[in-house]
Amino acid sequence: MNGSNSGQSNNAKGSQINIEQSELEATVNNNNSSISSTMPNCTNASTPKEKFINYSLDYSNPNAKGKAEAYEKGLGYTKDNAAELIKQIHDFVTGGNKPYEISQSEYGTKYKFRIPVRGPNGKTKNVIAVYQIDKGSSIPRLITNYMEGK
Amino acid sequence: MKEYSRVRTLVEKNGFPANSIGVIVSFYGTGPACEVEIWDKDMNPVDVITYKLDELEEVHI
Repeated sequence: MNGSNSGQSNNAKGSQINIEQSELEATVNNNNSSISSTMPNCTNASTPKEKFINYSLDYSNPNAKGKAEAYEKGLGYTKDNAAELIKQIHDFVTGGNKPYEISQSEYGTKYKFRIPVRGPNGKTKNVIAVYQIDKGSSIPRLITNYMEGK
Repeated sequence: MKEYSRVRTLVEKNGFPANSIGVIVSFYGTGPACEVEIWDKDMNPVDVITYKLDELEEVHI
């Protein structure tokens, strides 16, 4: 994590239950992915193309320009070849790989995956993909994705 | 506020101070809460944090 002006402190990421956050959210975090459980119903996870076309890879979206640029410069992915990026993320998650962090709130649970993605430029970079299961639902859905670092 | 709205946080959470900037990437159908992709100073995403809607204000660009 980049600890610049967003002010995130060193204790932002705990390796155990984050007590401070317990009012809204309990977080289990392990960057080595030694979390013992996979995401429930991972084989049925939804990875909508829209999250890439209308956000992560969309240069025209003023809130996504940096992400789109990072994907293109880092891995060579654009809207035109998004299908391969989506496939690698979806295959990793539905293949039963474990998340590196699970956060539970009164509204649902989110699962963060760190996925080594190979780009058409021959480079491999980590992509963070976050899936959410609303309380009362059972199907995980991708809510965002971004390249880790620059 | 809607999906992909740019927002400013009004409270400290998970080590991210109030006035952090980010984008709403999903809403919960189960209550007044959403997931916010928090940015660093260069507008690079650094984490995704749950906020109640009254803990955010929209930033108009």
